[in-house]
Amino acid sequence: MACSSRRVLAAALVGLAALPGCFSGHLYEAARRREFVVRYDRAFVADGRLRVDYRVDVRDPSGTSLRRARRSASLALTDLGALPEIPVDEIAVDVSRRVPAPAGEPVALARSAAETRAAPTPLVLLIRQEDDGDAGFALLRREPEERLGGLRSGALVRDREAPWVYPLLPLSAALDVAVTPVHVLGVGFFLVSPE
Amino acid sequence: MSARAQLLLVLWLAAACASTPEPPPPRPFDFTRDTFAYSNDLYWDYGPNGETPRPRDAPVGFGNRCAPMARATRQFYRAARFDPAAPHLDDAGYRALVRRVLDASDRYERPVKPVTIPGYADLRSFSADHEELLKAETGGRTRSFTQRGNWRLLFPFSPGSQRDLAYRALAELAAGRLPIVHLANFPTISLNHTVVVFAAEETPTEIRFRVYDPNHKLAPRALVYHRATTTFVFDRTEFFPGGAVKAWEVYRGLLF
Repeated sequence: MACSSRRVLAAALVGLAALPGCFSGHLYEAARRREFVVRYDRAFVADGRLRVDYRVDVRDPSGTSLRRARRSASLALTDLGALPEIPVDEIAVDVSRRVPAPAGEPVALARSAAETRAAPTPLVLLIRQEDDGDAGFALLRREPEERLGGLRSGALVRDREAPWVYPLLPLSAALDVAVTPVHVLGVGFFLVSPE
Repeated sequence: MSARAQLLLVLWLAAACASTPEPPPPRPFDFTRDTFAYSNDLYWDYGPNGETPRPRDAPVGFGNRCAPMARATRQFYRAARFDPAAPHLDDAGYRALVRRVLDASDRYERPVKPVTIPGYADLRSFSADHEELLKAETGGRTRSFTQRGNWRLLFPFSPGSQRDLAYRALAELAAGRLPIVHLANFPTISLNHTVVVFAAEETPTEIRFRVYDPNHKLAPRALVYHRATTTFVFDRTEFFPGGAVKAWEVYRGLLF
């Protein structure tokens, strides 16, 4: 019996050693959810800031779409119109998971020049579309005609962790303490062939 | 500790801290001059789409050397000063100079002293004439398997770590340094490779790094950092179908 238990334990250890290391990290990585803008819904200007409400596609690390959700973001009009353009990972955008009630001066959304001309508001958000959704927008004033700035949807990409990961972390951390040193010495140096 | 011993310790520390900074490279990295005239051979035949690797039929003479070749490229850029007007040396003379270049510290924290290589204008022409000597001195496959930063392969990469690398690489290039970057997508293992970053171009959505791939002597490849998704994407090559990779800097500090 004791011998059988040792065999099971040995097999379990060999099995663990064959898995990629740092379970906690890989678990955390598997739980990462990335949000991509798919469609802008409405926009407002208030207190020198533009607010946009939009829908996101939530995807897992393999890129599989999991669900849709609504978000709201606001940023300074000065950043929107900055020259040279602020890179998407440096522009200061506040993204909220709660979409507040409409507030401020409404901005009409347009997806073509014709829609821009027919817009009922002085400010227009002209949206640039691509195959996988709304890729960005330009904020325009209709009279006198002026481009106030623009934003690429990449600036609204956000990462979050799926909540199921947190209860599992203590278990994965215990596994890491036992197995990771073996992985570091074995897999990292000898089993992976570089080209 | 006696007063004399304390004084010696202070003097030693002061000398260590006041070491002469490494002289800057004489000119920007030039792919056509500062890379090897030969390539690292592939151990696998990847087929037309780069996705179905199988062992090569022909024997591989110089493979799995991406890491030592990348290191050697940077060592020559840092430490070698070519003098085409000076007379040629014999093999033993060149071997001694190559060893001085390659044996110098590969960490920028420890400055290297320039070594003059006579008779050649650059690494490309020197390595064309002395391929076997350089291949022998660059080191064997073990240098790739035991590169001290390989351990990082096992651990996941946060978006922040990829962003930090992109911006650190930009800063290093601005300082005239060449970051060496390990690319992998473990546990998939469709790519496990090392390249030298030598130039970058920034746009609002990406940072396009130009890299020297030791497997490809003909032209630079692109390693693109996508700012929105904090992801590096490596070119399609004969050994990789192209796509997202994890990246970390190696030959840097004691742990990498």
